Amino acid sequence: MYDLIIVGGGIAGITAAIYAARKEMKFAIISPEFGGEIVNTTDVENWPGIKSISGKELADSYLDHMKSLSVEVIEDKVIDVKHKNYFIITTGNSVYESKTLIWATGSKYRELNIPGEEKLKGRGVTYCSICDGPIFKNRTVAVIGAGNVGLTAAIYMSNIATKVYLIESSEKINGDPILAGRLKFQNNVEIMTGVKLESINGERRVASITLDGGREIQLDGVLINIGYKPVTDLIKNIVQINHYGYVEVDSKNMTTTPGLFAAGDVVFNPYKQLVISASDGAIAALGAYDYLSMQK
Amino acid sequence: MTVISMVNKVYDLLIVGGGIAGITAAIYAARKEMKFAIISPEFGGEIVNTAFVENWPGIKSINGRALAEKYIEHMKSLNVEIIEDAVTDVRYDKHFLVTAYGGVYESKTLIWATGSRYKELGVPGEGELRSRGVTYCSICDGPMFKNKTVVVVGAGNNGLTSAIYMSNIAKKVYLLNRSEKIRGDPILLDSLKSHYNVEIVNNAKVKSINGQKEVHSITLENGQDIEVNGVIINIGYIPITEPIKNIVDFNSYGYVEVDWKSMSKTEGLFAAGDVVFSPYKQLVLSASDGAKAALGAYDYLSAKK
Repeated sequence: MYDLIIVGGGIAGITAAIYAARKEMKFAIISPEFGGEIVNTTDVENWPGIKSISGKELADSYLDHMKSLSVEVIEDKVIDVKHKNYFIITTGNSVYESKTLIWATGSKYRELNIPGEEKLKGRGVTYCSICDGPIFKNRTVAVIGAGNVGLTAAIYMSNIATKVYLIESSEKINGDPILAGRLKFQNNVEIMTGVKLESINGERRVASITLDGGREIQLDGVLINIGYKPVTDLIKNIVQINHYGYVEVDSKNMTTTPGLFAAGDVVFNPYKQLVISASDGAIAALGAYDYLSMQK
Repeated sequence: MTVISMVNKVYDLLIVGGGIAGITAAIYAARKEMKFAIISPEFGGEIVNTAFVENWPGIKSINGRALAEKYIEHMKSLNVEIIEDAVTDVRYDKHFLVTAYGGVYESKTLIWATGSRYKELGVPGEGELRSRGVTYCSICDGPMFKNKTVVVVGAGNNGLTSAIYMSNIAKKVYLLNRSEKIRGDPILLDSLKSHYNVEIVNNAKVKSINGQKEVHSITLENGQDIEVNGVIINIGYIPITEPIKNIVDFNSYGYVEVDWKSMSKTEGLFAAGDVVFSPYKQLVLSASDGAKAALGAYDYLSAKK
């Protein structure tokens, strides 16, 4: 029986592990992979104290920090969670029991849900420009979505592709002006706002997209960056999930289920930021520690 | 003193406070290209007085000042208007009017991130012997006690960190804990226990600090006298909120309560870091607060347009 199990290997889970280790809790962290969403980010420039760093490198520094403490790291995928007086966590290989649980599984890419998207996934349609961007060297791509992730993707792609269309469905660019400003210096980027996609076309590979006005653009790749949805399916039977699919927490990051804490992108929060997820992880671990201290 | 009123310039945002909360707010506001400035008499915040930080994710162990320098450098790389001045008063009249020694600044929104200051014991001798052996900052004053005997009052994380730091400098360190149980992190306590010159005294409350020109002993409430050369007080903090007392309500503990975008009950007034009512006082929480407050202020202004 563990005091605490942390599920999720991104910044929220890792920070929770660092804090739990400092409290010398009997705990483990479970995730099929570690580093989280930022490993797919080219440059992080808003982690306080570091002007600019690749997402992968920053993730490695978090991991090194965690591994320098005595943390039981379980590389496995959680497939089921049950709650009695304690939590029963089933993974592909084993079953774990714990008095408290921190759910920090993050979110996954949101889809456009338009014709052609599913069929052409991995054939020109991607949700991760840093993973797949280099395939489009000297080709034409569309980046869908002009939030910070979309803007970063467009900047990145403008240095690889011949031509980049940045397509945003709302009238306004939602991302940070500093990123939008940088994009204006890239003369191979064409920004289209107030434009929706109707379909992605192609037989074996992406050949073109059709916009809602009927205009067709020939291109080789579609990079979709329209946001994320929280990964909360496995806990939906043991905690209330709000209308948007997120978990709501109190000031110590505990959910309405006693002993169940949540941290990072699964938490209902106005902003999705690395430093906010890190903070969540710290609060959740301290919260779990306090919760157990009270029970004794 | 001449007070210059900068009536022509209205900022979108003023950040008051130069610790991690204020600096992170500045980094985020700069990325949003807001018209803003950050005001503080000094920069780096509370951690510059910490010997080592081991819970800032990604850095196993670092001196507090070195970490603060990284934050400051990051901020300075982003063309931030930095005003080195102390804010004495804030009023609200359509905009926030922020009075510092060097002038009055006007802003549409305000992030209050002034942190907290040391809590005093409030015992006889404490005031008289301040800087004569009584200190609230082991890293600032610790070296004075080389090969001497000191007492660290308080066994939270700050007290434990202080005691570890002092054990390498002083001949003998007493750590006074008010209760049976040590509040600080077990990992720090373990580290402390490996230092043979540290003696932990449980259930110990200070009754007085004694000495003429310098500290020579303390008396505990049970009547016991301990001869020491230095008293390092680490019993917590109180939030610095006097200048905003007329424009926002504090809770009964003196803290500002904020919503999920770090806005207080006063429209346009945000708070971040140790002035905010929060169950934990941690660097990474204050950084998160600063980021939220800047994004919150940006959203607040966007919604008004």
